[in-house]
Amino acid sequence: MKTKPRKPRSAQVQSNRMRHRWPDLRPRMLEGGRVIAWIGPLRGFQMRYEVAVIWEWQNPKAVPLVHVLDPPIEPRPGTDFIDLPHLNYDHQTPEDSALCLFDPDAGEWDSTMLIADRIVPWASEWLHFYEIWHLDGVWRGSNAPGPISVGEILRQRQEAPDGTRA
Amino acid sequence: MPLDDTTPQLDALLLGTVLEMELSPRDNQVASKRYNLIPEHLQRPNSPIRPYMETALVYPQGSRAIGATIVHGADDDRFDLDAILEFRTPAGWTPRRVLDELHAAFEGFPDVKKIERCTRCIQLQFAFMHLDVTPMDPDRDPRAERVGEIYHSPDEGRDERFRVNPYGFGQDFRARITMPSRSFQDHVRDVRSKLQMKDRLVPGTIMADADIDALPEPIDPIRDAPQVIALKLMKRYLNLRYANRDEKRPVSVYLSKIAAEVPLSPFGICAQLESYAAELDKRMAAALETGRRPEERNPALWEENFNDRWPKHDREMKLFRMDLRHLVSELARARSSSLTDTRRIFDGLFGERVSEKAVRAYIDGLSSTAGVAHYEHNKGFVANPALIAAAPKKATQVSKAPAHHFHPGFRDK
Repeated sequence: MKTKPRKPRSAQVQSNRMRHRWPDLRPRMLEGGRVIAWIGPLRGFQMRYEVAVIWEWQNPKAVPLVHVLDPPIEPRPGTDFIDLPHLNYDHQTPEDSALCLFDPDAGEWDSTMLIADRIVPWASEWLHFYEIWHLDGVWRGSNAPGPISVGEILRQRQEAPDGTRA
Repeated sequence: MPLDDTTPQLDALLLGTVLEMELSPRDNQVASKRYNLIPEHLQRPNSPIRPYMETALVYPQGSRAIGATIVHGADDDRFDLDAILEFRTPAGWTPRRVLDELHAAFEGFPDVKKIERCTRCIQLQFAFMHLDVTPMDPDRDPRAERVGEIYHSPDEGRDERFRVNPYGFGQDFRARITMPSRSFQDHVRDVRSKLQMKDRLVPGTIMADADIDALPEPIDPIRDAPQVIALKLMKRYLNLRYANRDEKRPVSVYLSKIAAEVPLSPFGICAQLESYAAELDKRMAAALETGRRPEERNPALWEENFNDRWPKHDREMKLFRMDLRHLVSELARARSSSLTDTRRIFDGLFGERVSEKAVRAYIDGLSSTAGVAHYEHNKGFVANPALIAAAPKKATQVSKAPAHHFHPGFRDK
């Protein structure tokens, strides 16, 4: 039996769901209306972080990105941002890196899904595991196969004799 | 942060802290065995009080009667347990003589290291456990259930007798406690079963292992009620606060009575503890303002004043208020702190050893396997949803997010 392909969720549907589930994440239109940013508090282990959920709503391939605004995320003492697990690493301004919340190869996210039901809860879960990681350096959240940080990716590339990803 | 807010991860740490302070199942068995040995020992042929023991009755009072026993925590891994020993006052015996004879009669009690005669009880000191046995003269018939008189005989001052009903208080306490939801109870049992609880009470040669193991230990479900959990946390906190003070601390029975009067919070363990501290603070403030000291009565025997020995001075109430306010402000700080800072806050409130173990148990209990994650609407991730559903009527809405895997990558500009 053929299943009808699902449609990408409209900005209105996403906004309605966000307002229902996360009313304290307030929407703003940025970049001339090209981007919706929901900004507000989200729980980590216990404390609240100010986060921004950024979505290019007119681009069907755009992935919503979550940035932590305050307090900013930090590496563990003696390490660098590239060692922070599961970042969507911005090499120019590492402190502005977004969180990497799902495995793109496993179909865990696409534009037919709801940001409020996946991206935001996963971001809170990330913050929870981030705080535990800060305590002892072990990431205890679920991991996609492979390295857990950009630092690990780079080290593995250096170690591979042909320079390819190990 | 308002008091009516949930704190699921903080609650998990508070629960872990309480469970780390509990007796192990084996400790409970050893303690029960020691209670049971009291009449047997006092009836031995050369016991000075043997003739009066035929109708004697022994039963727990204090923390053990209400499921609130914890490790003391300030100096060592010690448990303090209490028992009532009911027997008619032998004709012509003064309170002093009753206590002195009972002191002598406990000589040779199995495993005991030291026996102390106190003003109202005999304290049997074992390794890691003190058992205070308070003799009571039961009322004559017709008698309200287990009402009687205990003896008071200080080194200086006159002997006295006080009418009490600790058993009745225990019954009243139990009736006032609201048991949490089934899922909350199941979760607590599950966490407890995963803990590697240390046996502190190692039996001696007289109590053979087989003998101990043969004793089925009834589990008291009341110990998992949030009101009782809050009481245990308060007791532990005060044990540490008063450890290096030369001041009398608030009596346990007073703390217990108020703990049971604070309604079950629908917002979890931290909120329960905050409400409890706020209630005690309110009572201290009222007492200081009016100049009338608290007089909490035993609901099962109105003439029994739980505050007969504390507080005696305004100074004691002011000190207690400072402690309560410190506790509340530290909990408020923990509500908005990172896990690293929360760990330090817990070190200060409940002791380093238990807080380290509680954090470790929390971390070890997390699953790294991808599965559905729970989240509280408008707040965020919840590791243990059962903890924010303590009250049968849920205060909060929790949903599930689909399974996923975190994944690192490079920002695609």
